Amino acid sequence: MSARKGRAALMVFCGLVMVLLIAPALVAVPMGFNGRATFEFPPQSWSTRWYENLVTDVTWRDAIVNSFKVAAIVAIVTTVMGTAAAYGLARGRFPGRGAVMALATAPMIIPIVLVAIALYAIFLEQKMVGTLEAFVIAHSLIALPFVIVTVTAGLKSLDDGLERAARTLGASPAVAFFTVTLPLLKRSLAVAAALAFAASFDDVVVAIFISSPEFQTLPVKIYSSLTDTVDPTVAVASTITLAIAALGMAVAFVVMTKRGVEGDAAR
Amino acid sequence: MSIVQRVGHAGAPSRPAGPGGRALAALFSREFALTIPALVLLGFAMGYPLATIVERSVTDFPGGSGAFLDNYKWFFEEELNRVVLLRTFRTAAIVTLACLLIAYPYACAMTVVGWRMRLVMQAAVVAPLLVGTMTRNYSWVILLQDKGPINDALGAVGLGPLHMIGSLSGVIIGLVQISLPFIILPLYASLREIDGRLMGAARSLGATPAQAFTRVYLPLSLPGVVAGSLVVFVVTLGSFITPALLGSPQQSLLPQLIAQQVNQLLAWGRGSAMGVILLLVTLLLIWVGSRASRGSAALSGGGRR
Repeated sequence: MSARKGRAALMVFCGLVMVLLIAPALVAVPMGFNGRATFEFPPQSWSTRWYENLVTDVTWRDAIVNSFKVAAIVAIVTTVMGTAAAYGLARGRFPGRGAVMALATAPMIIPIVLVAIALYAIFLEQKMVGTLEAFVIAHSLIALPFVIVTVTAGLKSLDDGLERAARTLGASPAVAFFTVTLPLLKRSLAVAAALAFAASFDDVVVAIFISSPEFQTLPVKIYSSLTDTVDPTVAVASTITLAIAALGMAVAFVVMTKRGVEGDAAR
Repeated sequence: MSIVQRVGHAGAPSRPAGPGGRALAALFSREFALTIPALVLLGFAMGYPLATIVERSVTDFPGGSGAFLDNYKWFFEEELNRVVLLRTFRTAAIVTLACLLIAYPYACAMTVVGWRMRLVMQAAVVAPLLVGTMTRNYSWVILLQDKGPINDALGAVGLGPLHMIGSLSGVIIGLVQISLPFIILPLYASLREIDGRLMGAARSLGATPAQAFTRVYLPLSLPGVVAGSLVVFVVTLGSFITPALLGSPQQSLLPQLIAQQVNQLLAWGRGSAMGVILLLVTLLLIWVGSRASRGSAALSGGGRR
């Protein structure tokens, strides 16, 4: 087999993998326009009533609002908390630094079911099941490692001489941090906040355990409507997340292509 | 902000010089103080709940009373548990192997294509992550159902219909597709670091392309293979949603059994013991995996001599 043929075969394989990665999620789009409440694919009749249902049905609307509320609070709390911790870990020389770092990334490693039942046990004890506070605490734990890892990487790629220069020129540590380091970290902080938001917004397992019929997030609502009923509103919710994801990808793609072109020109 | 400023002002003056004093001062340094909010969260939302689970696993018994390790003894004595544990490992192994076979050529290709194509390939890997867990699971419920599009296609070529949803094969198909990004990304990051000139050097020294691959490229890629496989294996071991939606209660995996003990049987002690076992297995795997990848890194370092 010639090298060229081998290469062509590899690219065909990669094309198939790309289809495998992307195509399945797209089935939600036609399903959202299903005329009847079935899982039939492709749908036999069409309607837009599930789109109406998503905004008029109180349980769906509440679930969406709750998801955004929790994720926004979690993004803010963990970005502040995680940035402080990452900075302390990157600049500090205190004993037990490695242990703190390991502890901070541990929520990523612990099986999510175990995290779920452990938090459920505590929130039952404290009568906090189905509260906004419980969701914020649980999702902050899940999101914190993403922030710490991202900001730590950002700090590593930063020239810490700049902060020292500010200090020698008379800035207090706080002033040096807020006027020199923080602006340079802007991009890492944005990525960290986005990841924290996504980690909270996407969580299903912990949310299933700590939610109540009165307080659910969107993934819990999707999960329960998949297991208990046949409700095409699920497909609408999925289509909307798809659209948001596609939009985000498109923006990132344009930005990176531009940077790629500039990078090529610079070379 | 107030913490940073307050501690910043308090911590700025002189520090004690003695070695013991320095360690003590460092413990109360402003850098440590910055980690306190995160540590409080970790303590309250991870440490305390996990301690509660460990405690319940040795104090909470279905009959009301029992000996210290009874829940653990029950886990290993009950045949159903052993079957489920074995099935969970087997499923994780199959999913990991399938992911590796698909991800390796893909990640390889990513290192040799032009930057525009690489961006497209990268986007294809990241896109499913952005789409979200529930959307991806939902689509597999639709695709794999008995009268779904995959069965229609299989029927058209005379292969179907197959019973996929509500079976372990459905769970495996779903988990492979859902886990692919988790292995492609670390694998690509590691393959990117391999110096392409080494393959050329091997060829110029008389190796066939196959020899250059198996003797040079493959050993150098092992740390990435181990890291990526470990992620998929560990994630699959703890996966709950996909087996619950695509599988059946008759073929449940360990996480479902844990949820069942806690939610339906209210057997917190047994559920907790199973959770602790799952955690210990996961930690053991990560420990072995990190040692293995260090070992293979040393191996590739040795190859340079």
